[in-house]
This record gives sequence, C-alpha cells and structure tokens, in this order.
Amino acid sequence: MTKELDPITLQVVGGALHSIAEQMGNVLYRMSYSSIIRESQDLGAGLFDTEYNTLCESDSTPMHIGSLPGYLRGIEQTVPLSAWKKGDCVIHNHPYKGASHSPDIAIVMPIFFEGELVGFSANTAHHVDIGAATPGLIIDVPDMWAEGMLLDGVKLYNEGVRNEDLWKYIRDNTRVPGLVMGDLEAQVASAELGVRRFEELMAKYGKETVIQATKQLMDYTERRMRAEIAKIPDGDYTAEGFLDDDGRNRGQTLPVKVTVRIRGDGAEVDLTGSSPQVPTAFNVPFDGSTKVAAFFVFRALLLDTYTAQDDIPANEGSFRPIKVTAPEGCIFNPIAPAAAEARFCQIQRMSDLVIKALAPVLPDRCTAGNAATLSFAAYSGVRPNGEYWVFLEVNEAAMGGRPASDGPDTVEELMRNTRNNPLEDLGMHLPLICDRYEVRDDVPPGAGKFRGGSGVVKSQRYLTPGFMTHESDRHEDAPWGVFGGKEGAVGKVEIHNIHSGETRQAYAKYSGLRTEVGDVVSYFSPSGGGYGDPFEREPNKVLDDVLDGFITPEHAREAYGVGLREVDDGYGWAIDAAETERLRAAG
Amino acid sequence: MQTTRVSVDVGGTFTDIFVINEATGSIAIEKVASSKDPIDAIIAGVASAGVKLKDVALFSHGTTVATNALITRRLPRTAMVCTKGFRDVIEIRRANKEDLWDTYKDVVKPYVPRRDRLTVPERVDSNGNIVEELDEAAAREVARILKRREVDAIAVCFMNAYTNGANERAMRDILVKMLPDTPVSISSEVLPEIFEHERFSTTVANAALSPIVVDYTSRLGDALAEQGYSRDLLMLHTGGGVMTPQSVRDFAARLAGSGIAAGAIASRHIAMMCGFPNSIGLDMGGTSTDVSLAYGGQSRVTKDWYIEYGYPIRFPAIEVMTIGAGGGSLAWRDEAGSLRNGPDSAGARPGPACYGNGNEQATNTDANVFLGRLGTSLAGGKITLDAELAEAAVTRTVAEPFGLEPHAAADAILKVANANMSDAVRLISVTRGLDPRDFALVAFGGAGSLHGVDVARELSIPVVIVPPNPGVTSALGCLLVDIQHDFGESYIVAVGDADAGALEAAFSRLEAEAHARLKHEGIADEDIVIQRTIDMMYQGQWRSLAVSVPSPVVSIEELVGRFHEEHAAEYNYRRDDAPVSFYRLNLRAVGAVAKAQLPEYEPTGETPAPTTHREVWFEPSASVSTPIYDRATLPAGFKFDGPAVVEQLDSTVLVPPGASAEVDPHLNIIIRV
Repeated sequence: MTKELDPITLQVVGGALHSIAEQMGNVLYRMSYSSIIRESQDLGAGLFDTEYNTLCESDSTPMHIGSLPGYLRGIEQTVPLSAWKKGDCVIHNHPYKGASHSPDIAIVMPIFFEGELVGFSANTAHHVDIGAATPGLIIDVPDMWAEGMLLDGVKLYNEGVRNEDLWKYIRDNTRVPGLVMGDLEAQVASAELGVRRFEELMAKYGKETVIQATKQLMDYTERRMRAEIAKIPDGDYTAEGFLDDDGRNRGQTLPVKVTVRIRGDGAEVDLTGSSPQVPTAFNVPFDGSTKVAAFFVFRALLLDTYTAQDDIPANEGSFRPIKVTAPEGCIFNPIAPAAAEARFCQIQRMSDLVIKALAPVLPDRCTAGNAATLSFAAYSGVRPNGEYWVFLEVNEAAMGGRPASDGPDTVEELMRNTRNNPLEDLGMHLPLICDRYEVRDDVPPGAGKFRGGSGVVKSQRYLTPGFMTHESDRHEDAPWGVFGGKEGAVGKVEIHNIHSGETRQAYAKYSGLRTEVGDVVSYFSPSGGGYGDPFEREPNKVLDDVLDGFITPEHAREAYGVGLREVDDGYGWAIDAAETERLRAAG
Repeated sequence: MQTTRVSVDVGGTFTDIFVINEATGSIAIEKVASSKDPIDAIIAGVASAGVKLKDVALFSHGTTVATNALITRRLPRTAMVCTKGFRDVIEIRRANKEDLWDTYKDVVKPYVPRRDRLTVPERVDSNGNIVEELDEAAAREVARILKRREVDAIAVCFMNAYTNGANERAMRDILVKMLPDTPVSISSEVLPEIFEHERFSTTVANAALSPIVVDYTSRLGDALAEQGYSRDLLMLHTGGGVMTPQSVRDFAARLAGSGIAAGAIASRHIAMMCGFPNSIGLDMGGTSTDVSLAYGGQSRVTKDWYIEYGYPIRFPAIEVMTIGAGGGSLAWRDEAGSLRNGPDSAGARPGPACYGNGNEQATNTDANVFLGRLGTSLAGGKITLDAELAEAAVTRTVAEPFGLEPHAAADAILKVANANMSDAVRLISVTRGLDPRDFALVAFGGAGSLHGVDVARELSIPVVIVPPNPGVTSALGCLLVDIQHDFGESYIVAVGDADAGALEAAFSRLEAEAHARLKHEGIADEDIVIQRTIDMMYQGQWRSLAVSVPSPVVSIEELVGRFHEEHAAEYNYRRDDAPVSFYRLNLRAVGAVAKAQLPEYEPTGETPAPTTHREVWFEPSASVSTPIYDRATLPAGFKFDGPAVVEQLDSTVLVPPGASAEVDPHLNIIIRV
C-alpha cells in the first residue's frame, strides 16, 4: 500500500499530466493539415498505464475522451504487452476492436522507463478520407469493408525504423494524401512528445509517485460521481424517441429507447428496445462510441464545472459507477461486418434521452430537448489536375432551455465541442463560397419561460461540380419541451441552384450526391425545446427576441401572451403592458 | 529642468501616484480614493503629491476604464454593418463551449445585439477581387437607420476585407457623410487579418470602446495641460507598452487590458531585481486580485486574449488572471450554507464596515482589522478605521450565522479569501505543469502584503517579496515600459512564388508607417528599434510560426531554412520536402523611453526599534504581542523574524510567526515563509 501523497505533490503531478495531454493535443491540432483536426479539433490525446487506465487526456472533443483505452485493448489482440519495443509506433482503427469509428485513427507509442514498459502515449484524430465508398463520409454502404482502410494494430515504426511499405499503402488508399499523410505525421510527433514528457516527469518525481497521483485523482473523481448519483432516487427511468431513417430505407423511422436504472451510487444505461442494427453505415460501435457517450453524459450532467464550483479532474473515475447495456445486434451494439461509421446522430439522441429520462427527478439539472443531432457534411470534387479535394464540415445546432436560463443559440451541444471553420479560410482552399452563415430566424425556437436555443443556417455554394454526403438526422422528431415548455423546430436541408432557380428538399442523410455549379446547399439545424411555461417568461426578453428578429410579434402574442405596440424609435416595437396583462390573465 | 516622471494607476478603490525625480533619485508616492470620474482623483492626487506638472518630463498611465466598460457592459450604443448573410458571425463565435463540462453556464451575448447588426449587399472574394460592389442605396438606408437610432459608434465588418478594404472604406465614407460625429472602425484597418470572427470581434470591441477611451484620454490630456504638462500623455496598453492619445483614437481596444498589464510588468521587474526569474505576481487591491506569472524572466504574451470568452481582442496581451477577491470583498453565506468571499465588493464607497460609511457587511479588511493584523490608522493617519465596527460586522455577518466565536469567524473569512487566491495561482502555474516551489511570490497592491505569506504557504512557495511601495507597484509598472506598436498584414504567398525584393519592399512599407507613427509621437529616429518577423507554415497547415527576418531580407531560402529549424524545435518535427508558405508580416516598433532608475541603498547595520507592540491574532485561539515597525525606519540589510507587522503609507506587511524577513538594497522585504 503506497502512502497517500501530500496535496501539493498530488496537484503538481496532476497538473503536469494534464499539461502534457494539452501539449500533445496542441501539437496535433497546430501541426495538422485538415480543417477537421486543425480548426474543429476533432482529436484526443493522452497517456495511459499498462492496464490501459487513463493517466491524462486532452480536453478536446468528448467522443475522443475515454475512447483510447478501448483502442489499446483492441490492439492487444494483435500486439500483446510483451511484444512492445522501444521506438515502436502502432496505427489502429478497427471498429470492432475498440475504435470509435474507422476514420478516427489512433497512433500509439510505448513508454519505457528504466528499461521497463510503464505505459503508452496515444492520440486519435478524425481523418478526412480513408478511401471509403464515397469521399469523406459514408451512409449507404453494405458493410465495414466499404468504410475504407482497416488498420488493425499494425506498426508504422518498428523499434524506430519507419515501415515505408505501410506508409505507401496508406498514401495510395486515400483520396487526399496531402492532408492525411501530414495529419499522420502530426499524430506521430504528438505521441513522441508525450513519450518524452512522461519520461521527464517520471525522472523528476519517480514512477511510484506519478502512478499513485493518478490513482488518487481517479478515486477522487469516482467518489464525487458516486455521491451525485446517490442523490438521485433509486428507480428505473425511461424515455423514447425516434430517428428519421437509416439513409436508405426512407420513411422507416428507427426507435431509440433509453432506460436509466439508478441503484444507490451506481447507474445503468440500458438501450434495450432501440432499433435493431441497420443495413447501412448508420450503426454505433459499442465499445468505442456507445459506452463513451453514456459516460460522458453523466459527467456533463452531474459534475458540471459551473455548478460544482471546484475542479474535478476528468478521468476514468467518473466512468466506474456507470454500466452500459445494449443487446447484440442492436443499432448501439452491431454485429460485424455491419458498417458502423455514421454513429454520431444516434449517440447524441441517446444522450439527450438520458437527460429526458432523468428530468422528473433532476428538474434543476436537466435541459429541455437539445438539437441532439449532427450535421456532418462532406463536400468534395475533383480538381482540373485530377486530384481530389474533400472538406468535412460540422455545423453547430442549439441547446434546449435550462432551469435558469435560455438554451444557448448556435452552439455545440452534448457530445460535441468542435469549433467551426473560418469561412475566409475555406474560401482560400476550396471551390466553395459561403452565401450565408447566420442564426436561424425562419422558425421560432421552442417557447418557454426559458426558451430553446436557435439553430444555425449555413449555405455553401459549389463553384465547380462535385459530390456531397451528409450525415444528419432530426427532420422528423422535434426537440421536446419540458415543464410546460414547447417543442423546438426540426432541421432541414435545401439545395437551390442559382442558375436554374430550382430548389430541391433533401433528406437529412444522403450519400455521394452529385452537385452542379451554382448549387447552394443550405442546412438549417434544429432549434431547442423550451423549459417552463412561456407565459412566465419576462416580457422584456420576449420583446428582445422580437427586436432581434428571432420571433414575430404574432408569435410573441400567441406563444408568450405578450402584446406589443408599434413605436417610432428606429426599432419599431415596445411592450403593451395592459394588453400583456390581459393576454396572460386570459391564459 | 524636467526631471520628474509621474505614473498613475487607477484602481476600483484607490488611485495610486508614483513620482520619481531622476536627478535626485527620490521617490514619492501618493494614494487617494478613486473618484466617480477617475480624472478628478488623478489631478487631486498629483497635486497632493506636490508635483508641479510643468516640471514633469513624462506622465504615463494605466487605466481600467476600458476593461470596466466591457465587463459591466456600460458601453455606448454601438452598431455593426455586415456583409449580407453574415450579420451573426460574432454571435455564433467559434460555436464551441469554453469548457466541455459547462452544461449550465451562460454563453455571454456579443457587445452588439442582433437588432443593431445591419447588412448591406457587397462581396469581396478570398483573392481580394470585388465580386459585388457595395450597394450604395442600401448603404445609405443603413446610415439613415443608424442616424435615427442615434448610435454612438459603428463597426464595419465585411467578409474577406483583410484582402481588400475598398468596400469597407466606401461604407465608411457614406457613414461619415451622414453621421459626421460618430466614430467608425473598419475591420481592414483595425486588424487586417484573415479569420472573420476574430477580426470582427476585435473591430466591434474597438468601435464600442472608442468613444469612451477617446473621451477619457482627451479630457485627461486637457486637464493635465491646464496644470502645465507640456509633453505627451502615455497610455499603457494590453501588450505591455505605452501609446499616445493619437494611437488611442484608432486602436481603442488596445487599452482593453491597460490597467491589468502594469502590475504584471512591475512584478516581473521587481522579482528579476531580487534574482528570481520565475515569479508570480499577486496584486490584491480593494475589489480584485490580479495574478500574473513570469517564467525565465519573461511575461507570457498571447494573442488569444479576451475579456469574456468567445469575444477575442486579437492584439498581443500580457496574460493576467483577475479574480474578485480584494480588501473590500464581502463575506456572505451562500444558499448551501457555505461561507463565501467576494466577488461583490464594498468598493471605495461605502467601503469596508470599519470605514464607518454605512456598510455593515464584513469584508476582508474588517477581518484583518479585528484580528489586529491591520492597524486602525492608514495612509499616514489620513484614514482611520473603527475596530468596533469591524467586530460588529464580523459578528453579524459570520460569527452569528455560523455559530463561531468572532476571532474564529474573522479567521474563516480570511481563509476563504486566501483559498480563492491560491486557486487562481494554481490555475496559472500548477495546471500548466509549473511547480510553485520554483517561484517567488511578489505580493503587492494595497492588500497583497497582508495575505502574501498565507497564500505562499498554502502553495509551498518558499519566498515572498514585498516591494518598497506595495500599494503603488502597478503605477511603477507604467514607468518601466517603452512606446510599442505592433503592425501586421496578411502575406499569403508560397515561398516558391516569393521574391526577396518584394518581401523587403513590403516590410519597408510597414517600417515607414511605424517610423511615421513614432515620429508623430515625438520619438527620435535613434530611439526607434524595429523587430521584423514573418509567420510561415507548411502549405496547407494553418498554424504558423513566427520566424525573425533580417533587415534587409537576405534570401527566401535563408528564411525557409530558419522555418524548418524553428518548426523542429517547437513541434518536434520538420518536413524538408513539404512546400512552405508565408502567411503574415509582423513588425514591432519600439520607441525607447528612458527607464526609471530605482535607488539602491547600502546596509547601515542599524537595528530599528518597533514603534509599538499590538495584540495580533495569527490563530483564532490566542493573540501574540507583536512588534509594529514603521517601514520608513527599516534600513537595507535589516533582518527580523515573525511575528512582526510593518506599516507604511500605502500598505501593511504581515510577517507571521515562523517566517523570517530581510530588507534588501532596493528596500524590498524578502520573506522566507
């Protein structure tokens, strides 16, 4: 039994580890070529012990946090612990061996200290194109072989010697080698940095102290999580919703059912009752994505930094009290060789349903329905010189109303936290021009005492012919309101050609769509649901929304019971107090 | 003969004046209560310090006027004119959350609400071609609406304007014609850099601050001139240099962190003088504490700077963390029944309960007075504190609600305050992997030296430095800097297409601009130092690296060689075969201003006697009879052990039992905790 560390050493080592992970993440995103990594920061990086516990991880995108131990266990099936040599570097993306999904490629390097294997430095990053059936993203494909390259624990470096054949193989099997090879180099540099910094830390504080510090930090987070779960009354809490379709069989909605079982200081998330796996890529890898999402939502709900007031380290301690169940053959636990690349909309909805299920017993912690989806767009085309261009864009959505404030507009909600890509940057690199990027004001957000957030609208115009794949959902099932709040708005996609004047309504999901010069693809993300009775909303806030163009005076009157009168002050509207009183009294 | 230098730092509670006579080496300090209009206190303080403004060679000033305006959102009505389709860029921000785990935190609103963001048809493409001319009829309609709304400032923010500002300028011309008295900031002049949100956000802050800081600097300049000051007023900017009122007019947002940077500069300087290249500055004033860090003798400078997350002000900034913990911070009981401290403050008026101006809620100052740590006569007898009122406040606010004995209650108030400050220090040190045991803590501000040793002990920081005039240290910082301007422009050219002559010409053009601006500010050519750097990157990468550029440019190949080396050093990796691109030219123009020389003293070997003894509670259980020294009597080389209290005009130094102290040749007190 190692003795407890003094609080200063514990904090210093914990802080140093956190800083290493941040540095690894920084090197990765600063050095990388593709915008999905450098701007959206769709990456994760960290250090792990030989039992695959997380010692530290960068605060980047939730889906990468907590996924790396799964990769390490998957790699062990090919490279056992005893087979690692100093200077090795392994690449891995197998969706049935721990990967989050196949484009999230992991790079892993072993760390040796005084001749002994003490852990791993590893990172994951989303790659723009791994040679799948359609450029960038896939929806309607038959199986995992159509996802592109499968890299199952193979070595990019053997004891420091570069495996040139493998590098060539990868270069030959992506549509955009210029981006992918540069990004892989960045991942290797980031992993090397982690190895070096960890060796330095071990040299300064000793192996025992470092390992002891991480154990104490994990135990601490676990205790805090258990204490929060214990405050929730024991019981089974269920919520249900549905997804639009699988991207092939239109009109066939897919149920999602979440049961949260609270027992003492532990919880189970059970997905029994959700749709069976689908014949397209719209399935979720169980280890790498379903479980990670369940862990995340509990941490975000119960150990929120804003309400917790003190700094709770993010680590696997918060995962320990949570059990995740999904029957084999379910959309959340597919059986190989089902394709399982397009998984984000499902886990967003699953997370939101966990919140909905717990809302009755966590009224002060829950939100109304969030947009809880994703708009992941792959724009692509072939340049005159025969080279492909591929661009992946993540469009933000909105949150539902919250116990004491409105749902934020146009924000990354739930399981995602990627940054948008500056449009001036895109214009420099791609044959696209953006025509509009604004907060959605064509439909009102969910009314409530605290209203839902408004989604975004983005219109990208093709300057040359190309292709497009869109991974999205929620054109059918609007975000719900809670405690008297009203439902939000569903999303939509419109494709309008500025030359022909034609407008096509598109499904949320489409694969390899051909696009022409002048096609403007406009995405409108869903808007969040409202929290609480809209008639209790402060009239001034309703007026603000009218003046800011988010709602109309008619909507103010009908949904909120707020009467307005026209004024000539350059803005146009003021509150009609008497009318408001009358409307609200009438109910 | 103009040999006097004056600097003034205006805080939320006090206005500090620091005067140094370079001919004699003498230093005078003055501290007066801040006034509603900060200028009143400045003029009064300068007068009561006995300064004749006609003898002053240099007057420099750090102000929180801009910072406070942004934080409190007391901003003039500001409008924004945007490209059609892009009115919400500053509202959408970069779309991500500050913290992954902040489900409930509010996303703060932009400085300009949506209703005041109007659009006009116009478009420039990413190559700088005008694909759509400004729609002049629409532009005039926008101007008409803004005139009707009586806006006070306007920001013009068009897409891709960094490549070609013609449409923005055309818009400005129309606005100026119809609203001749309204200042207009255009993004292509404020920050001609790619990335629409960052450029727009900076431009909007610049526009919104412009009326405030221009009014402030011109009124202050007039007031000083009226008293006989004949030179330029120098304003400290966020990047740690000073600028003249002429530059303030165009770059108001550079003052957004003016008052914050001064303390960091002074702290670094003092620690270096004492031989500590690694230092943490703890600047505790009446309403807040600024924590800064220097490592290896350098302050951290960042361009990822903001007052509120999501709204970057992309001028270089010295990193400082501000928390709401000061002498006047109020103790209170939260809903969960825990004792809290700050961020609400009693301010200068009514001030702590012991000021006797009507506040009855306990503050840190009240706790310190009640425990005997702080005497009842401050600022040389100008301010008298009432210990009975302090006790009553501590009893009512904390002792009774929490069932504590009053001394234990006062001790608890201070423990919470110290924990808050320790957390802030941890955030800027430990969470970056820096070990506080390798640092010295510079404790200053009116209240810093009362709390410094406790904070240091909590963090295992071995040494605390208390400068000679802790209460006016920030003001000193304003005297330690040069005039500094940062110029830059996008220069996106592949190295294969670049030409050394063209690059030299581009730098020369910026240099001419820099010389002109400094000359206009009265700096002689021989006092101007120019530093050139160029941002470079592997083509297709986005993050660039700044590489220093010789004057004149030797060859493109030489720059590419430097870039590969820098990249390998910074990122552990180089790609000699990958194409490289230039991205941005940077030019820093420094107009050297002679620095204040701080006097040095020989040890006298004297042992001064304490002026008196007082009962001080270091522990709530018992008091200790503690010697009280007058700092003016402590000579260089004097060593003493805690418990001791050292009183001086602008501050009180607490040396608890177990700590030992020594006065160094610059009259800093160095405390081994």
